[in-house]
Amino acid sequence: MATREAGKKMIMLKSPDGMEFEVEEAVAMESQTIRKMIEDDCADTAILIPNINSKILSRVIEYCNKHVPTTGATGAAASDTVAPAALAEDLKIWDAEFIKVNRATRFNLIQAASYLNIKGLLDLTSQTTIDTISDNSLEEIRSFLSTKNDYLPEEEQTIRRENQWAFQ
Amino acid sequence: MNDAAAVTSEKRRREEPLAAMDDAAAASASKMRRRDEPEPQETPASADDEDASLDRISEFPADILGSILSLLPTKEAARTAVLSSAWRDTWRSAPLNLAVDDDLAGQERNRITAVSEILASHRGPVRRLSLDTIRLGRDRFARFDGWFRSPALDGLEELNFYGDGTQPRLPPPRPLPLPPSALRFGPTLRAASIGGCDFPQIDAAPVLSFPKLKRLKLYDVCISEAALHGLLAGCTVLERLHLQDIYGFSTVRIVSPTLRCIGVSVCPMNEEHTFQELVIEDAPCLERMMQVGPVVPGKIKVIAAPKLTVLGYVSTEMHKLLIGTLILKENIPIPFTGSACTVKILVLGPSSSNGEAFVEFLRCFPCLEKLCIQSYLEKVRESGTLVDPINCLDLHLREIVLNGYRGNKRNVNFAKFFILNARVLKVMKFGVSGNCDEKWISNQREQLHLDNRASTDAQFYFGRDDVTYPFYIGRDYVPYPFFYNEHIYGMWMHDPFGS
Repeated sequence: MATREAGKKMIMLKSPDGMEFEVEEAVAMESQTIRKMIEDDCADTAILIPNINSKILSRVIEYCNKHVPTTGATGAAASDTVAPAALAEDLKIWDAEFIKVNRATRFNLIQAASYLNIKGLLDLTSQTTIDTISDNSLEEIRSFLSTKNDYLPEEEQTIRRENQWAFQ
Repeated sequence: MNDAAAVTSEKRRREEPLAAMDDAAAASASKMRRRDEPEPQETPASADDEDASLDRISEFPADILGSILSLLPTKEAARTAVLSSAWRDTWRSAPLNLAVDDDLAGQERNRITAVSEILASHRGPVRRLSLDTIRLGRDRFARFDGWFRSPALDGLEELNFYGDGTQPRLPPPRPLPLPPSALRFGPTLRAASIGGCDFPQIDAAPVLSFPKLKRLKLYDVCISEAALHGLLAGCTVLERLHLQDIYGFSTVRIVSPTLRCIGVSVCPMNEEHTFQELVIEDAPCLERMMQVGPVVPGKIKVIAAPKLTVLGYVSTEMHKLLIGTLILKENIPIPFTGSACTVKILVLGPSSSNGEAFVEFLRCFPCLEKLCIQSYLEKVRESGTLVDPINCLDLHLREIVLNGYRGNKRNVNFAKFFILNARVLKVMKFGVSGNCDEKWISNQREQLHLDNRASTDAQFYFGRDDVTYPFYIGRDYVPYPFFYNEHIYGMWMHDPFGS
């Protein structure tokens, strides 16, 4: 396993399009999937991350880098002096910037977060998608999802009747 | 990432907010952007980002879709069934978080219809049911019972129930009981919050079992001693117990190998069947004990809680507080009492004790690291007259929050006691009630003789007590005045110490 600096273990992540990313172990372990691989000793050399291209993977790493908790003596001291609320507020602002991506990227991030099991990222991406859909008309949601209404009018009526409470 | 890819990605990122801002027109916008794209040859990986995105969301695995839909309000999520045939069953089969609230339907009777229809037609597991906006009345008792029996709720993990909106209810008459059918969720519940009802008499029932229940909150509930003890005995992995404004018994004894946090308060309007005594008999993991309402049981006795670190809100209302060998009567230690060495964080409420007694009080908590004081003492011994050292002031007390600070002579003297004696103090925060401009602050700094502080490292801050210096325990915020906040200490929301 590659190592760099004092005591910081490095992990190599590979995307299917051949890119390699060297990241700190702690950062990689924000992903529960990778954490499990490391803990099960399956991570001696580079870890191939299937189905996630380098563009998405680099963004995922960017997210993990930001969200990895600071540890060690200096980290503990820092979290003591900075009010937790302020820290959380900073992260929120950062998250809001981070998620300003087009929906294709966002969907890819959702899939990546789900596969890599990164709860914070999955929540962020899902919530952003929901915020986009929420309070829109069905027509707008269809357009957003690029879904075509393939129901016959009477079929749609039946479904509306079945869930009448939802359309009141 | 190579340079070219990095540049492309950077470029995209700059453009992407546009798309995000106007998602409704996203389909056409993305086509336009593609035509304008100066670099026509994209790597296959990024090309598929745009094209194949068309309804990509429909192709997500069911569990991702389900978790996304569960973030939508129930009503909006249900409407996705008419998007297209691909969406026909998505919501109906996805795990459901059923919050019965104004979003579901504005009127109570429409909410009732909606709940009945959802429970009848939903096929996915209902993970959480929050049912606190439909008043449980005699005429509705059978309906509630029927809902709780509904197969859709098999496997329910979280139940939030409030029976009756009117409070307080003085017996007689007692409030309606929680329909006993709700107890069938015992084997699967992870969290339960039950309020505004009479708890069913379960002492006669077969032994209850809640093998997964980690968080239990009972509020505004009438429950017999036998039922409460029977319930607690069945909670074998309980970590958080919140008994707020409950009545119907006089003593509760806690024996739990897993409990980490307990919050208690007494229903103030109920003279009869008052919760008088809390006994922590054996709780090896208990870290926090909190007061969660304006009135606490008069007697609190901690026999064995070797990890008790946080003592939230100690006030004179506790006529007697016993922790191991420590005995306090109305916050005043009895002569030759022991001490509570495990306590590191303490929130001190109204206290009638004088300065002498306060010094003795501090001696009872020799390892105290954080102290939050919500009210002031009449007199504190003048600084410099401390003959016997106080262990926590010499060695441990790092942070002090003084809320309700007005800067009068009494307040200044009280604060000076800490400034001149706390040798390892790092931070002292003055939560000022009222205006505090720069002039006022500099005047205060002078009066407090900060130059003579015992700890040269100490920092002093001033701010409005309600906004600037909230007190944190771990990640949890202690509101001031503490009991006006429903989510006291966030104990219902977060893990203790953020772990």
